[in-house]
Amino acid sequence: MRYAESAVQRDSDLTESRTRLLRLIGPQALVEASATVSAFEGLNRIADATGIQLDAGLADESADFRNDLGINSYAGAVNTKSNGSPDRADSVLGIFR
Amino acid sequence: MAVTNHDSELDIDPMFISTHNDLWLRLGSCGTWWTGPQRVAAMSEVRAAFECDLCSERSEALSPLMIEGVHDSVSELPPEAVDLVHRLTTDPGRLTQPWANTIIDVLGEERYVEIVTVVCVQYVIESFARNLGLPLPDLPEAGDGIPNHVRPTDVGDVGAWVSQTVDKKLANVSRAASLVPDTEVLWRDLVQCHYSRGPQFAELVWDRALARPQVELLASTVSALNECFY
Repeated sequence: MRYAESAVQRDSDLTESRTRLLRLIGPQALVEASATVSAFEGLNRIADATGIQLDAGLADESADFRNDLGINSYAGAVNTKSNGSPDRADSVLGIFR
Repeated sequence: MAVTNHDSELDIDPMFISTHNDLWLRLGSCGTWWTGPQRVAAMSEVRAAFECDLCSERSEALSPLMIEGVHDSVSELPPEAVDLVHRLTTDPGRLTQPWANTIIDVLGEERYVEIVTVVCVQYVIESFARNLGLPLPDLPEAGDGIPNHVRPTDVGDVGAWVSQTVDKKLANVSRAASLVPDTEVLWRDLVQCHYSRGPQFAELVWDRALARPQVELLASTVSALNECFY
């Protein structure tokens, strides 16, 4: 998590975080970690810039914890018109219905 | 210079190297609504945004709109395009629809979406390099050509800030840039390479160097830090 924080916040300890993570999980996993962090840097940006709404399934999936985690106070929350009803999808793709 | 360095001691999967190199070249080519030189100019603004005094001041402010000023621009792009690139680069979690509408009113929604997509593809590739301690590549060579201004016929209001395809097949984020399909395909290729990887996306167990829960925890951390609601 520290590596992700250093990367997103462009902290001066990124090199140190990366070195520590490399030692812990090895080069292939480090590359996967970087691929994930960078992908979501982009996914966050394209979602925020286009003002997309939560998918209905995603709204249901997160309805019972978004508020507790403070996510409903993010600026982008106003884009989604329905809060959803707490429910769990039975598959990964079901979340995005 | 190759976009992603072959010589890295990290032994990076060739999938990343080939995808990044291919997409980088295509970022510089003529788009549907912007020329090649204009797209490369937008990419130069992404790098300038990190050194921009206005962006720096705004990122510290309670609201970015409290701080007026002019961006430290390095291109001839319209000021609205520069503002879009700089804010999307440095403060994506505080973009608002009224602000986006002021940009769209000037640029048009197609140009807005194309530039957003170019920035996002570039951001992912450069973030990957930075996070691994690799040098950033030179910006791509700008391609020739004249934008054809072709708007897809299957787009409409689906509740987002911009028109998108009305055919919902997967997640809303997967159609975010569907107003400009020829540039959207770059984005799709990149997300496939970095994250979803075809049918694997639907599986709970992934055969990768990180387990799916580890990947999703990283993804959630990044999204929380960026305050991305979606």
